[in-house]
Amino acid sequence: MADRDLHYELEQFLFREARLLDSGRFDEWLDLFAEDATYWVPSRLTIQGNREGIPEEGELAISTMNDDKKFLEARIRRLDTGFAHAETPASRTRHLITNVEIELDEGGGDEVTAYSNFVVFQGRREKTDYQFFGRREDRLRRVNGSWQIARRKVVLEHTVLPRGISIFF
Amino acid sequence: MHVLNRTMELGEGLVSRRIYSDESIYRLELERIFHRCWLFLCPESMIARPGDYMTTYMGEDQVVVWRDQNGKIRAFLNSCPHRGNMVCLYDMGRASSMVCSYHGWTFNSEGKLVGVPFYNEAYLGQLDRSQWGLVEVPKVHSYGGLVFGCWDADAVSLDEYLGELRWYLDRTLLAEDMGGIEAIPGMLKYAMVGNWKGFADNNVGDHYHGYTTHGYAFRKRDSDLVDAPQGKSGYFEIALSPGHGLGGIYTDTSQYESDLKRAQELGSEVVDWVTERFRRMQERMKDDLSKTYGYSHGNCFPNLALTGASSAFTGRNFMLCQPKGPLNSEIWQWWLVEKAAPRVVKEIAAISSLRGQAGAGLFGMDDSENHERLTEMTQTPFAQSLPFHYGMSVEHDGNWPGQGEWRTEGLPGVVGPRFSESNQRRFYAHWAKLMGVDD
Repeated sequence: MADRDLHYELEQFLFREARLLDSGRFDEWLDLFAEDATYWVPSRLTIQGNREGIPEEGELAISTMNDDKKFLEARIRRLDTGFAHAETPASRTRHLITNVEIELDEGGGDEVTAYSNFVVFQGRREKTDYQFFGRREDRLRRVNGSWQIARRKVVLEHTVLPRGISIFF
Repeated sequence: MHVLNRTMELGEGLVSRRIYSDESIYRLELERIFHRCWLFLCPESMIARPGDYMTTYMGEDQVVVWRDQNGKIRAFLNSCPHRGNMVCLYDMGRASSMVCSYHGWTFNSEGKLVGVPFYNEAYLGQLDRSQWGLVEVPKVHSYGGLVFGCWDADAVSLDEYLGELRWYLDRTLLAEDMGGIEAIPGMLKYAMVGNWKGFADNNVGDHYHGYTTHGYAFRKRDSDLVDAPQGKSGYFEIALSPGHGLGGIYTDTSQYESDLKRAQELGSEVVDWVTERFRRMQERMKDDLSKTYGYSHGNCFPNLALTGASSAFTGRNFMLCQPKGPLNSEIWQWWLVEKAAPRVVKEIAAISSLRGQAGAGLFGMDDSENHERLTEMTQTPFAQSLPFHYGMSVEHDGNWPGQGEWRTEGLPGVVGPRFSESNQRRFYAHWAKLMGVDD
């Protein structure tokens, strides 16, 4: 288990990350990701004999999102093209991040595993709104004293997404 | 019921907005469209082994699609014939029998009632078990690895129902001469505010919206955001009897050329695959006067949208628009690839497919946004008294400026101009015929 200082530091990191997203500071948000980062949102079904209902990592499967940093950047760039209709006007989002747990690797090293839960509220236009519930499993990497997201896996609790996804978790 | 302009079919192209939101029209659709047409159930590969099953909807009736112990694919209403409880509780799995959680009635994969607890003591031999099996969908049939079902026991055969669409599927999609197609494992499902017909007609022939809804993909500096399809953009729309349509037909080989370049970076196995795949496509078309290398969009009546059958590196996208009331839908997606494709090609397809026309894809989300907004604006009596305009290219079916530049001889269907709403008009004309509405 991580000591209190490390736990506090990484929890603050995740809270700040959420605040960047909710403020629409997407470029700064993207900077938090390592160059080799992957961002995976597996697709989830109710499957007999598979409680999680998601594929194993590395299995050939359809995902909701399965991005490298370059494609995350493409998603963000799209927002400035004037053709991002799903984000025009921009969504109002509020990420509630909870249940943060930090797990150290045996033998230490510069990466840790961070678990967190989230509720994300998405409000659009007059009164259209959606909520997404789920958890994240991150690999966070310390590089030159600051933290980066090397890998994010997002598991949503929905098997039918409440709507198409134009935001980040 | 007057829902269509009198000159709808090949005339002005005005459609009442009411058909997108009226509850009574919707309920009639459940009967006259979804209980009469062949409906897509799933790719065969999803239920490859005896005992495999998946659950889906035919209209709003939930069904279990189950491959029985002898390998035959059946579909059943997912409701215990006894007192209605849901029998199958999972989206997919494998079982040789299912037990209802209420009174323990047990059904095998042929839908037969094979177990009734305390049968002798409770029913005193008065229950004829052969009459109380799962309610079975009378017609279930596969075409090219695609399973369809139909509630109407008197419906035409699936081959006849697919009609002119088959010609294109045979050549550009099904790859039966290469061992057929399979779904990349899994599914994507997302809710969308909007009537199922709006989604269907958008896919049956709305080439026009691409430049605005998906405008960023067409701008040179932004076109690397998704793998936008390659090909001469002067492609056309084709209305296919009965009620189907395809559009964005590719008539040149630039997608192949682009695929080949990409394959060269991935090694000889992939180069061999891409070359062979193209050679086979050519072979299938050797007696055709006009060649079609794929399509960008399409719809199989009523609600199976097909997009993106061209590149070897992207899955062939199947989007079933499940109706959930007049104002809501769910899009259920699969992506199909050739079974024989190298693993690395399938892995690329699994990622590239979801970047475009998908629930979190750069194309899909903007389509949903349009449907959500137009639905909000189409709910009041006043709004519903107005028409929708589907009048583009009226009276130019099979006869349009510049038509001579294209090889279209021998292509089944009514070949329309690139900018056309002929496919949509014919979709609604077919809908109106099945619904028995006045025009």
